[in-house]
Amino acid sequence: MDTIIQQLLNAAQLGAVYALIALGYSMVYGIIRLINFAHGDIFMLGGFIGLIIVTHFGGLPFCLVMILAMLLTALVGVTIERVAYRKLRNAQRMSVVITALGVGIFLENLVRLLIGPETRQIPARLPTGSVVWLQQHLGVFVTWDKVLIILISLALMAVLWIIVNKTLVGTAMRAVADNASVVPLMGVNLNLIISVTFAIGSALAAAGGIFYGQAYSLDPYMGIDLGWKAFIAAVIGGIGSIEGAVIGAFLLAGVEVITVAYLSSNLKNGIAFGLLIILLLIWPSGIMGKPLLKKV
Amino acid sequence: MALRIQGLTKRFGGLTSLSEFNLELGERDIQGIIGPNGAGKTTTFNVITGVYQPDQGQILLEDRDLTGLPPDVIARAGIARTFQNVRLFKDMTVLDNIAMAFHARIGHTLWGAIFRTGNFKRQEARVRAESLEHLARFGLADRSQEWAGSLPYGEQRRLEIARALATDPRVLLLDEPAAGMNPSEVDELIRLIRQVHQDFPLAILLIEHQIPVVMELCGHVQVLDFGQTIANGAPREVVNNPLVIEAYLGEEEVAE
Repeated sequence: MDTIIQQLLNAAQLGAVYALIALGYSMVYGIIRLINFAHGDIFMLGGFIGLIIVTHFGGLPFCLVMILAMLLTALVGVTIERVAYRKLRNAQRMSVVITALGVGIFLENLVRLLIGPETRQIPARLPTGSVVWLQQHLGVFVTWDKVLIILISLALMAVLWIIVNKTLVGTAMRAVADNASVVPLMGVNLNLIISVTFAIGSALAAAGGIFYGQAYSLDPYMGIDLGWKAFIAAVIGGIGSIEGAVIGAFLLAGVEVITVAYLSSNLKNGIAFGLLIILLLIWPSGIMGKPLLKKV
Repeated sequence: MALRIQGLTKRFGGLTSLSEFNLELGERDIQGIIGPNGAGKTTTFNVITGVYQPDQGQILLEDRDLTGLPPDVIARAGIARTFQNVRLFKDMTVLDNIAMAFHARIGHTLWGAIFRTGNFKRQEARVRAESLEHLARFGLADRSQEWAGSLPYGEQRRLEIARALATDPRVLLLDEPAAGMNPSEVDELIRLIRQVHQDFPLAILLIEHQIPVVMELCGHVQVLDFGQTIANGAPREVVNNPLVIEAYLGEEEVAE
């Protein structure tokens, strides 16, 4: 029983990180139909920005480190869209996909050049003591940082949900996803809304990067593997859907953690990708996705 | 003068879609643009609303030069439009469709949205209330929570017009509002446009294929053919103009 709870919490922690990345893939795809293949590397960069802040401003409280890293990464995300993607918005889909891959490789090598190829860890800034209540009542040994990572991630997702569903900016984001051509006629600057979307997606990825760098580790190429996983999570959930990205992320993390715990860590990726294939055969548009063809 | 257009020209490669187009739309006018398919009518709207940049010419809204400005700025300046094929935010609620249009009036700040400032929340509550009120004027209040795409066609048209009006325009451009409507729906549409013209302080410019709509509503009509204005005047004179008849008969031959 206690190991199951422990494994579930491990899955929740990994799923939270996947979700924070997957949301950016899904939101950007939702509004401009671009699969931003550099997004995994923005996640990596966010982690490293967090590491640099922690290293150079050791006295800052954790929440300020996070806010600062999220803002800086948001700025990077907005700049990438402005410099690399905007001019290609009406170009062939393939051109901008290739550009995104190029941006990703650029970011990986930039971090490698500036910081080095070694694996790093963000020094623990969240309390790492055991959650006494859980130990006493359920006999499970869980550290506070894991619980906090899960809770803060869920809080960020809740904030995102409120922004998207309850604010005018969110209404505009949904409107761009629905019918971008009409949005400017409502007096809304389309580019501004697209920038906001990149900013939010990048900030969430940065939060994921910091959590990952604290719970596991950072290296310049981590964005490739984790980015793909988060992308898969977004696709399983139904790319373009915010709820779907979160569901897909926790589902994928659950499958991975259970496979590692009860089968073999070598099977982790095989089973995760196998799941992707099976789920997409059942739901070609993902769990929460809309069918591409509503009517024939 | 609500809208004054001089020498507006738009070329696509070697094709001149619109040539030396002029228009003087008075503050409370209803004017029409007619012409066969491909005559450049919708191009005219696309240039006026900033979707296309004109190659020559000038667009003045209440003496403000809008030529070459981006579409969102033109919308905020006071030009609204509807589309031949209704373009709603289909997967959003009827209310959210209207709320989107309020962007044109209030302009929001990013900080307010992210940090949910008190002022911002008040503004959002006001937008909801005013959107509902606005829907009520068009008999759509009880539909406010339905998906826009699920409304019957006639109501989708009405919602699109209501949404255009929610941006608080000085000039309303209607692109074939009667397209795909049966005669009784057309009658209802004519009543609606009259009502809108009475209730809102604006001028209307409409493109229409159905001549009766133009005869009923417009004080002045301009006929386009291959991007050129071939006739100009009161509807009754224009429809009897031999050039116009020829342009339309020419179309008959290629019609399906």
